[in-house]
Amino acid sequence: MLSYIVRRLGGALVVLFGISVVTFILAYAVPSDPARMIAGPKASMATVLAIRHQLGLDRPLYVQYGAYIWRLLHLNLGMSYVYNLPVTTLIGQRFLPTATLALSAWIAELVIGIPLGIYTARRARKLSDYIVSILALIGISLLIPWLGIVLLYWLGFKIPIFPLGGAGGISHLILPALTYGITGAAAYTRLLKSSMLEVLKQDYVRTARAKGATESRVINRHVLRNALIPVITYGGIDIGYLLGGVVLLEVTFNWNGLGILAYNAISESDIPVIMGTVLLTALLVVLFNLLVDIVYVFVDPRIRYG
Amino acid sequence: MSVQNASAAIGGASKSQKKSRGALFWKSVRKFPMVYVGGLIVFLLVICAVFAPVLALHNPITQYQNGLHMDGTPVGPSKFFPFGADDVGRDVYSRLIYGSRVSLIVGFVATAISLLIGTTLGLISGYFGGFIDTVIMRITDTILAFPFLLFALALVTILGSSLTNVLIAIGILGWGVMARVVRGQVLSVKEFEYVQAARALGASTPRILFRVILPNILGPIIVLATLAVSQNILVEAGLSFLGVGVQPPTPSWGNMIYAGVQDYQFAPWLMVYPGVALLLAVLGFNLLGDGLRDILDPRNATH
Repeated sequence: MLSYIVRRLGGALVVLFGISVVTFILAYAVPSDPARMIAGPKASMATVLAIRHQLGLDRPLYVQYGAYIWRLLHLNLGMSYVYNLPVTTLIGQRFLPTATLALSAWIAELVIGIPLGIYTARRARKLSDYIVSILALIGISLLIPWLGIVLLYWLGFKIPIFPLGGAGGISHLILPALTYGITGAAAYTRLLKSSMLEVLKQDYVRTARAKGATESRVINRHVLRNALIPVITYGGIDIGYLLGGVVLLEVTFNWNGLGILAYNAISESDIPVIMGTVLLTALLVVLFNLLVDIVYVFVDPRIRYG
Repeated sequence: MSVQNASAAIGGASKSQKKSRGALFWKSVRKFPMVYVGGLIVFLLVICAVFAPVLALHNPITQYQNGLHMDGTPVGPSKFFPFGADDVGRDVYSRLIYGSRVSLIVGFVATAISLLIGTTLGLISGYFGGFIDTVIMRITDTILAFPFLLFALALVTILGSSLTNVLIAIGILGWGVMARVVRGQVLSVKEFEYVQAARALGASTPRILFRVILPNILGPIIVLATLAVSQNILVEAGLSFLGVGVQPPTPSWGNMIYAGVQDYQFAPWLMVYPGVALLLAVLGFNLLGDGLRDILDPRNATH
């Protein structure tokens, strides 16, 4: 098991290297000149050249990449052109709001998706299964901002139950979480349903039933534990969608987090901030997938890694 | 036996197999009626996009004076504007019809780009294994690590906002899952006798990959591609909503929704119609993809 974890860590390191290369190329491929961005449109060519030299932009690519990695290892993501603050500071200020939002969105997905998955698996091929499946499919086909605005209008404005966007207490979290839950739950429902149907056919489920175990015990102890494995895998993949979707959620609900930071940075060509958020989110995805792979070992007794 | 004969034999075998498989396919389609609904929606969508100039009542970017009230607010659904007019007096219905073109082009072309990259890399990775496999799979992991929407947003910003760049961005970011699935499929079929037979008969590697293995794993690829179309349509709409991608006055459902947000309270048609159009289009591809998956699933096979 230890060698499996070590191997998995090695793979993650290679991916981290890949991520650093991709973000470096993207930052380098930007058509707008960073030196010109800092100096402003009125600065003379000499000033621009001086800044370019100061930033090391006139040195060969591999030297710049080396410097880039060196800065990353020192948690230096550069300075924002617009705010004139270190990118790490900007990200640090907004990390917690985004983490809160993403976590609530994810919980909403699970709270909606998992019970529906169990329900449709137990009612497979009945009318209620079809109705719930179609509803879940409609959910997954909705555009996040569209659903968000409609919910905001009806549940925030017409019937003012929830606040109209912004950050605050739990009441501010419910609508964005619900929006993401509705659009994301179907993936979990679908996955859990098919894996439960597979498990329900197994001999050990029949044995449990033959022993006289109650239906809820069979489902909870025997079926769910085994059927949740692919769901956990998807949880790791989902973090990527979640961190992308959070941009749409934050813009829709005016939630001042990393998503809005990136969104504003994009309209202002603030490259260090864009690259910083892309890098951070990619890092989180790698981390979570690593976590999922390690959790596996403990969840599924059948998986033994030599 | 020469290579030609051998391949003819292989081709012949797969053809007769295909025929019975095709019959089985149509037999099991009946068990999953939602495929028809999905197929119908997709068909209507294609009709909309192709015959947009015929179906549209007005020019989608003309600003009509009678589209606005005296106080400058847009007029609601009427005989002249079936779905109302937008905030500068353009016909929402005609813009909706033309907007289907953007969604479909992004859906199909971006998926085709991802499919080309993902399938090729997946085939190579699965077939050769070893070091090549490791390298390709680590590259795939890298691409999959970037949150799709955020990365597409960054890429389109860097390349510049245009339909072509949206296509490229979505296309070159979306192949990760496809490469993984294709690789898995290749691993499961590459030891079959017909692959070994083709190899023994001296078929070239590209021929084995694309003419022998690929046709046999087409099912899951088609399912994946159909679902990718629906996802890519949503991503395009999301990018348009965030202001990158197709720029007004060219209509796309995403930028129509964005433009309608401000006026939702007194002119709900601006946001409701494009939202519903988007929902139907995405739902159509989802129903089709889900249905095809159920039909092609050997566990649901009709015998």
